[in-house]
Amino acid sequence: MAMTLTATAGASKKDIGALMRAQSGDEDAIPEVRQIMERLPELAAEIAEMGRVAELKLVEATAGENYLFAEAMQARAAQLRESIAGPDATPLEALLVARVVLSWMDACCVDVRYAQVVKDGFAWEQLREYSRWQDRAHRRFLTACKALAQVRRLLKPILAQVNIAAGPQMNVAELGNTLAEME
Amino acid sequence: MNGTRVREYIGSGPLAELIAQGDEAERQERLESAVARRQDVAELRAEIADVEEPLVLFRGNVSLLAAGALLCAGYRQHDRGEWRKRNGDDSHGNSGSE
Repeated sequence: MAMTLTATAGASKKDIGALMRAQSGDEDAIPEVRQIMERLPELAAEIAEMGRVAELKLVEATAGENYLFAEAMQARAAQLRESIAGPDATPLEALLVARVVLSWMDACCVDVRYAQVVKDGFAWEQLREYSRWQDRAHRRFLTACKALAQVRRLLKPILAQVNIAAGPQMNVAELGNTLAEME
Repeated sequence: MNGTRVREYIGSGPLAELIAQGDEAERQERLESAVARRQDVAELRAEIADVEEPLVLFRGNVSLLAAGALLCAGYRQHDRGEWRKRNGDDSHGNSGSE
């Protein structure tokens, strides 16, 4: 994961340092990371606000004074966030979903700009810049999807399919929790 | 011509002067247009950076929180790629880097 971050109001430089140390294998930093994670909802709210700022900037850069397009983009983003996150999303999951949607918007916006440039006439140098932006945006989108899938897979209870002899096939949600309750 | 400078002798006299002036004006125009293109590209890069900066910052912060949550859940990132459960339990190990 990229760890070149600036400190935010909620996450101090010390917090970031602890996270980076823990990630590079320093076990002494883990208790500090646990303390940081206790503030997860607060940190998530703050980071979500950063996401909204990024979204507004992106919309403004793409839609310009076309307010209908701007509204439509934001409405679609909200709709996607809701449908991908689902009703039981944790704060971290909601953030990861917001990142997926923002990256998707980024990739779409670059595509729109690229198409405009091609339509209106272009200089090769400009097209090359747009093309590089497009590559970066698509990479960011794929990474965001992967990160969401990874966290869902590793941190959420496992969904398993169980076949019971000759009976009907049934899906057992949260198998881990169910088994724990049975014990 | 094709990126190579070519000298062409056109003699002397008023007609040659006129042709030389025309060539000079054309050269100047090409230079100005190249400078303008470079400026356009620099402006475009600045505009793109302005849009991308908050996106990258947001992405970085989300990654940081996700890493913290995974670390607290007992996972460790192996060589900046795979996240594996410690104590040999890597049954839910996930490939791919962030």
